[in-house]
This record gives sequence, C-alpha cells and structure tokens, in this order.
Amino acid sequence: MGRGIQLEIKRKIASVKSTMHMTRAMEMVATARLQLLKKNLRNFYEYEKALSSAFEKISSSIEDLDEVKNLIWRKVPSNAMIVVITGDMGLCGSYNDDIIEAAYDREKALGKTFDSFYVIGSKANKRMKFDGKKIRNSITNMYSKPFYDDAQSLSNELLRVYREGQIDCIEIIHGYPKSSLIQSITDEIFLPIKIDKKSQNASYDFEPSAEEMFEIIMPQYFGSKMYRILLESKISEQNARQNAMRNATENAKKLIDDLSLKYNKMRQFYITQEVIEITNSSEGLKGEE
Amino acid sequence: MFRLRIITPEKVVLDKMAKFTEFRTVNGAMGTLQNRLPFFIALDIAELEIEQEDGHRIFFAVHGGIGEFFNNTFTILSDAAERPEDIDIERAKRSLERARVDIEEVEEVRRKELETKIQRALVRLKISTKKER
Repeated sequence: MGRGIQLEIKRKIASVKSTMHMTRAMEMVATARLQLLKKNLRNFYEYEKALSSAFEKISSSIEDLDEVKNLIWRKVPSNAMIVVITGDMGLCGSYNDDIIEAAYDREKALGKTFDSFYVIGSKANKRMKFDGKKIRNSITNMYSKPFYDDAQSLSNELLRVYREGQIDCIEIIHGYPKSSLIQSITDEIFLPIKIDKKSQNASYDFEPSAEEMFEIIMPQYFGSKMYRILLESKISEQNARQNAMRNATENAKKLIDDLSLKYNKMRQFYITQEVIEITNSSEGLKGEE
Repeated sequence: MFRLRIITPEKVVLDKMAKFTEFRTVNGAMGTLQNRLPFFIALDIAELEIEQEDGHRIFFAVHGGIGEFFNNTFTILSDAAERPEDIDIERAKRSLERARVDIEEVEEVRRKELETKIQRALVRLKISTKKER
C-alpha cells in the first residue's frame, strides 16, 4: 500500500462533499417551491369549492340538456384518451416512472377502448416516444409553477379535441400529494362529466339564461379543474424531489463518514508504521556501536 | 347589508360587508341591494362598483366570470379582479396599442382573443383613473 490510496480517498471525500452540497441546495429549492405551491393551492380551494357548487346548481337547472349532452356521461366510452402529466426534470426519485407505469397499466386495462396518449412533461414524452406509443400531442417545458392562464388554454385545447368527436373520454393520470412523504397516483375522468339531476330548492334568477350561463361557466369550470390538477401534480413532484434529495444528502453524509473513518485509520496506520521503522532502525544502530 | 366575496384562482380578493354593488353582466348593467332573490349572473369584462358599510365607494376591474347571490351572500368568481392601485397603466396602454395593431391583420379565429385583450386593457385604464369617494 502506498500514499496514493490515501490521496484518492481524500479526493473522493471532496467529491462526495460537493455532491452533497448540490443535493442539499436542491432540497432547499424544492422546499421553497413547495411552500409557494401549497399556499397557492390553499387559496385556490376556496375558488374551486365555490365554482363547483355554482356549476352544479347551474347544470342542474338546465331544462333542455340538448346543447350540453355531449359533455355528459351517457354510456361506457369506446375511445378513451389518456392524459399523462409528469415533470420536465428528473432527480425526483421514481415519481416520473411511477406515473408512466400507471399510464401503461391503464392502457392495458382499457384494451381496445384505448385511443391515444396526450403527454404533458418531457420525461413522459421521451419515454413514450422510445416505447413507440401512440401520442396525439405533447406539451413540454412547463418548468415553473403552473399559471392559471396556462391551465385555461390547456383545458380549452382538451375540450376542442373532445369536441372533434374522435374520442369520447379523457382521463388524466397524475401525481397526487397524499402526504409530504407519500405520493400516490390518481386517475380521474376529465370528460365527460357526471351530473346529478337534483331537485332545486332555491329558485334562481338567471342573467342571461341558464343555457347561456352553462356555456360561459363551462370553460371556467374545466380551467379550474385543470389548474387544480396541475397544482397537485406539481406539488407531488416537488414533494418527491424533496424526499429524494434529502435521502441523497443523508447517503452522502454517511458515505463521507465511512470514507473519513477509512482515511483516518489509514493515516494512523502509516504513522504507527513510521514510528516502528524509526525505533527499529535506531535500535539497530545502537547494536552497531 | 350583505356579504360580498370576490374570489380569483390566486386568492380571496375581498370578503366584507357591503351596502350596494353595481356591475355589468353580458346583457347589461345591474345592481343589487341586500336580501335580493337568489340569482346567477355572467359578468362582462367591466368595472365593479361597491358601496361599503361606511358609504365609501370602491372600484374593481373584473375580468369576466360569474356571480351568485344566495342567502344574502354575493360571491363573484372571476379570473382576475384588480383595484385601481394594482393596475400598471403603462403596461395596459402598451398592451392596448399592440392588440389594436395586431387585430388589423389577424384571421377570424384569433380575433376574439384580441378583442378580449383590448377590452381588458380599456377597463384597466378606465378604472385606474377613477377617484374613489
């Protein structure tokens, strides 16, 4: 053994240390983003609650459902499109792959009634292209926090695709933040919608008519639904990233501990060896006198 | 007196008691006092005037959305609602000019979008010059 190994360990420690700095910084970035997103979602729930109840009331007071019946659940769909939402960036554990796997499982379960994928996020886009899946459209590079306008235009786009008539069901598979440690995946049906025809107890005045109101509120309703989904999946992604980076930092810490122990042991070994060599040689010299 | 709430996707903009509100639906101007029959309205991109408890009047620029009056609570759900002091006048002016140039050479599909943009800018400019009493 030579001093070379000792030097190498020293270098390794330095490299692990710099990696650790990076993962720790990324963890902190994820935490900061998470706080922002969570605040956003809290504020948004108020809006969604009010909007959903308004939507229900309006849709249940429409007498003539002819105009809107295309959007309402009537039969088991025969051509389903699956929207897959993943992140654009890696370094978040198995988050992206879990969602893609769930989407593939769903595709298998749908069998013949599956039509195509609609991909959001470059991670899923790359993987699905590689696997040769049928992709109708893909949207990538939505790095920062989702904006309401983006969600609105996305939902309008989905509505347009739905109205073209080739597909009769849109499902969205996305990450859902169950808790900060557990990320689950949900599968919700975006279109068509299920409306309960409840009897209306309060009689409302409509300005304009209920049918026109429905036309106006519908894009707003789907936009807000989309915004919630985007927010939730982003939160889930940042949660996953935070956890992955925390684990990585902890692992790096452990690695550094192990390596420094090894380094110190080796250093001690050389010192002892040198002391022995010196005393031995001085003993030897004594004998010669 | 009734409870007035203005909620946007970003936050709850306003939640307080009011004496009177005046707004514009897609069909025309309307106003409401307390204890009205329940109604649903579709708001236009227009100004919203509120008379507060103390008689003080405040303004908002409301960018579409819907309103519901129920149980003496008036809830406005809109994409955006801005107070005069939040409005960036220069930006609104620029956006108005740009949209007016663009609309000349755009095909039918995007025209509506630009019309909305112009309307938004106009409302913003109108609101920003209003004096609150």
